Amino acid sequence: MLQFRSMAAELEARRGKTLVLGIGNVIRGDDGVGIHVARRVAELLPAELAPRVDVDEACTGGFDLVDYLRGYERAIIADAIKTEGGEPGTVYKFAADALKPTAHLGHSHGVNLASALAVLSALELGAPREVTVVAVEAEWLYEFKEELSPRVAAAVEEAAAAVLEALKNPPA
Amino acid sequence: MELPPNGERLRRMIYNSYFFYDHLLHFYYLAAPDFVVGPTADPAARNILGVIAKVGLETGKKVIEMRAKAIDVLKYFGGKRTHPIIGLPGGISRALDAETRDEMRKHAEEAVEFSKFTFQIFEDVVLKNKEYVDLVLSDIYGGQQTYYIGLVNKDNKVDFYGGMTRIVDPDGNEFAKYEGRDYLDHIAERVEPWTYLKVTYLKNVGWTGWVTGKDSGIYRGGPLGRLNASEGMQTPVAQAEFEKMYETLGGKPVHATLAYHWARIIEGAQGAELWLKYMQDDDILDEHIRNIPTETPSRGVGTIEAARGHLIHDYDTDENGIVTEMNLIVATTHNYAGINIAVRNAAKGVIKGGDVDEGKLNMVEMAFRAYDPCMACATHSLPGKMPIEFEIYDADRKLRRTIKRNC
Repeated sequence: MLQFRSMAAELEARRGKTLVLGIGNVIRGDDGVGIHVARRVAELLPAELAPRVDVDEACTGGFDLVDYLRGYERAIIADAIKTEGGEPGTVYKFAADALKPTAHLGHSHGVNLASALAVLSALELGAPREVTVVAVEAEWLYEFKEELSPRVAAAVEEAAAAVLEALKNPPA
Repeated sequence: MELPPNGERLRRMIYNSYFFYDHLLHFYYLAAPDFVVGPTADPAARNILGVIAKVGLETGKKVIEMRAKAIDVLKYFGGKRTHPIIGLPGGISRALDAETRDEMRKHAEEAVEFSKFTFQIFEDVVLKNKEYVDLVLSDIYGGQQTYYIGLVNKDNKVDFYGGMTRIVDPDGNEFAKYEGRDYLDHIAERVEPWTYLKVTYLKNVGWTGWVTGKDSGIYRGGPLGRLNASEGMQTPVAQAEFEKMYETLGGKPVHATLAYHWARIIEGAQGAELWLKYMQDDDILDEHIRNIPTETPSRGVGTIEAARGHLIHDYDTDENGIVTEMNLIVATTHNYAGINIAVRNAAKGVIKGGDVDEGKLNMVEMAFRAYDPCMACATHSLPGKMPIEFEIYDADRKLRRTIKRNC
């Protein structure tokens, strides 16, 4: 059974480790692809990497990301992405500093990944030194479906492989 | 079915810790940029990073720490910090041991102290600035005389978890008080062609359009709505600030939209105090936390106060317990009419002669932000921007200008 472990103790346990975090909502079609990728990474994670890698899921994009990320040496985020004219199923890999913080927060669920990282850095609260995003171009983003669209489903393996490849290298 | 006493006690303890951290976050990270940095300040600085620059790293860190300590409670009982699984039919997920209780109690004590500190910040930043107090009471954000809704306990004090639904009229007089399961006798919903959200109103007053006042069935919930619908707070620190708010803002009820921020931190203090109160009760260690359901229900209505407002879930089920019909009226739905009118009034008050700039647009957004609405938190794909479009009309309803952001 889960024991009570305060955030302070949790931070200590994260020291020097990499977080693979799948973000999304699995009942919103391709929005959940990040979760599917994280689950696949957990299945394929080599035993020798397991002690220094945590795989987690966040069905939220808001301020909770601060708590998920803080204290880790490195984070690899798996998420859905929608780019102008992007081909569904395309896998992208880029550094998180390519994203812009939310400029205007209308509500507390409006904090995005870049905003969460900016807050952690500004407060000197243990922002990961390196944050990589592995994103899959989504197709069914605004529909209630538990499954992924065919092209996005086919990309899960490639995205998981991209995460595992990144894990082979120690944090920069 | 009835919950065992400690099933309900634990639920209340956890729920109050949630109210504390959720309100705390909104105040420091969403409301404070408008007041600490300034409503018309450069948008590049008018955010949490700008607040940290002004109030200091330590306060910013403390907010994150206090939030984490409250979330620790949810995680312990619910297994995870987001979407925890805590409430089970007939009780709660797990009991509390003495060692864990002792640790959590320290967190609750800190939360009460931090609530007092937050009142001091509010005093220093907002109340000691006459310009801000005038802004709160100005026609731009005030004058929206509506009915108010919230749960109250047997003494008509604000309750987040249980009790009866109380509605007061724009003068603050009790208009209705009922058990949540009877909501259909009081709340009606209507569909508008321009929005996915339904608009709720008081059935026994009626819908008279996008107007406020005693003859309009529009009502508001959420922090200010709950305080207006009550006769006070359950705990001493929150009650003292409750009295101060109404005295400062001209008596009860307060209609000013920006007063939602003050009401929110008052509720946060009650959350912290009740969290602590339950942690000080040795009965919270009772291991009888759940009565196992033995019957299949055919209908269930749950009413609770979510951080953003009144929340109703209504389910019909078949002989296998499978849902056959459901109706959810969530917090932002109850406030939707009020939000729209608040934004309209702010736009009318701020934008004159077609003169629009970033600062004025933010002052319109402030009317929206005060409600902490949750319009679209179901999808979280990158890049995570909030699309917003402003259309500026002249007095003849001619579209003069459109400003798009993140569209």
